Amino acid sequence: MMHLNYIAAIILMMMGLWAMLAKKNIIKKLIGMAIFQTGIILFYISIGAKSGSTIPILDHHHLHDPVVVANYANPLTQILMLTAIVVGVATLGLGLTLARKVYETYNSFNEDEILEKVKDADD
Amino acid sequence: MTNQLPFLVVGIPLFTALFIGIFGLFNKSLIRPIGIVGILLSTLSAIQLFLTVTKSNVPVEYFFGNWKAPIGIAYSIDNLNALMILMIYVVSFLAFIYSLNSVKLEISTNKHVHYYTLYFLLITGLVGITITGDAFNLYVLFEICALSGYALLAIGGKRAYLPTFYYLLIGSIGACFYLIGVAYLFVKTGTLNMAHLFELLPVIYFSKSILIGFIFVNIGLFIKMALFPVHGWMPNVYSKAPVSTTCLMAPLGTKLSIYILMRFYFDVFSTEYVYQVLNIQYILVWLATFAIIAGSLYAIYHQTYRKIITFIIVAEVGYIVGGLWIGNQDSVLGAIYHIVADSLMTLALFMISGLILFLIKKDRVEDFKQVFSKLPMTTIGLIVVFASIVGIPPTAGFFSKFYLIKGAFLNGYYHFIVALLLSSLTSLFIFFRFFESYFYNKENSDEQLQIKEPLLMTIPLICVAVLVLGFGLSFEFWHDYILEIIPMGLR
Repeated sequence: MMHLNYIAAIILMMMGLWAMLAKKNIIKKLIGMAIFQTGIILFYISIGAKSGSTIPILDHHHLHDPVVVANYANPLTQILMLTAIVVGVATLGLGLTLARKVYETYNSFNEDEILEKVKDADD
Repeated sequence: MTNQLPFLVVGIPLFTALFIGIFGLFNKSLIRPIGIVGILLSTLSAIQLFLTVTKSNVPVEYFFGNWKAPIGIAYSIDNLNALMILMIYVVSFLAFIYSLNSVKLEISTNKHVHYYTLYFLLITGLVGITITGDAFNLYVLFEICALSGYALLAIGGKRAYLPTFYYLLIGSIGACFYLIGVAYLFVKTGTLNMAHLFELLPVIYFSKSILIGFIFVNIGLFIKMALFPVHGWMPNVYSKAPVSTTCLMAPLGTKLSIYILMRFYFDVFSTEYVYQVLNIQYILVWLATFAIIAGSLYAIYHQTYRKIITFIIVAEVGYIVGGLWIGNQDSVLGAIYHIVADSLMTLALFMISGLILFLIKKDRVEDFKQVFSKLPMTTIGLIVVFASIVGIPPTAGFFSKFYLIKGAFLNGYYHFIVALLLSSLTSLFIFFRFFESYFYNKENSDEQLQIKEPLLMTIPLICVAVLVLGFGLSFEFWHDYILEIIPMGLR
């Protein structure tokens, strides 16, 4: 049970990847993408955590005390993931916009139907 | 001023995007002047940066907010980056001039503000991924580049939405894989700075985490560069998107992903790890060989010009990656030289596709008769570029192919040589197919309609053709220049 966090993150990633590749509904594909990204974010966050540590902010009552690094979670991974969340939101937003445009063009969310219509349009 | 240059090459396009976004909304006539000033200033600073770096011969380092390397984000420019940044700006300068006319023809006027804002953000992202010395910062800039790229591609209208949607899914898988790879490296070393990683990695070469990180970074970048088994997103996207966008994205997007792969091999994992500890070149050169063969065969099979040139790019990616993996001095020299040569050729090919699409309005191979009879400048461009793709001596394509073949021969990768020659022959075959339609389709109605090629589109094309020739003719200079880039482990 040592690496439960890694296993959870990997399961989330695989679920997302599966949804992106195998689901026929294009909105479900996007949901899969969001799950995939969340898996990576949790993976990063969990590698920064330490057992028995607290949030990486110095208490202003103890500013002059020596800082014991082991008492604080690694702030770097959290900062990195803040950026990655922003990137993920932007990607999801753009993806949903595109999905909407695809729906307006082909009147369907189902990949098979859309591809059939694309084929008809090309011929 | 000169010590701020590394910031300026990224900052000027970023602020140009901002200014276009703000002022362009109020007054549409300001978009083009701001754009021209922005691209001119940033191109000049890129040239200045190139001169500074080549003169001093030591890598230029730039620390944001004066936070030194392992803590802050560093930009570092050595000879390899400087060449890439110069290439980005030469290509985007010419593509921008070309777009001044082509954007009017394919995108409605009220979208120009958004289009050019994203255009400059894309340039920012491209320069950023080249210049940065931080593995995570690279991911962020990758996404800036990709997100503005998706929007720029989807602006092409109804036919572009679905391919762009797939590109978004596949592209984000690629970026996420890269991110996982960086996570593995970060867990083991606790740093994200590339130079710092390079110092820390040798001790733990045999750790499994590093291997997994290496694999993930590689797969992520393969997807981004459209290497053969994972190239599926590219042909549809580039053949349906607006030409003004593909002129910027197709030459730079895939090539810079290869550059990043190179940077990771040379300056993060080190050549010793990639070529001696892992020792997997043999399989990977086969992969590149398959990429070349598959790209060439698909290019023969397709009938529309834009599909053909996208598959030519798939083959060219195989060239460069194969040259990198063969891993001796000559092949790596050929690969680096070919990155620049190929981005110029791709730019010219897409400019030609635009001219054909706007003036002839068809892009099937049978319709090329009209291209040869009515568009003289386009024909000149097409001949020079195809001479370079086939590899006829004074053009740039000849020298890169020569060195790739020499490198492959020295290390005994004969199948790679066969694939290269096959690919040359297929490009020649494709060119003759264009030509054939001129001589054998005479019965077509010969309407006397004279088409005038717009100057703003032909001048950039002719410039690129001259550059393809000039880059080949000045090969001796570049030979010496690139030789200094190649890391000690490969000489």
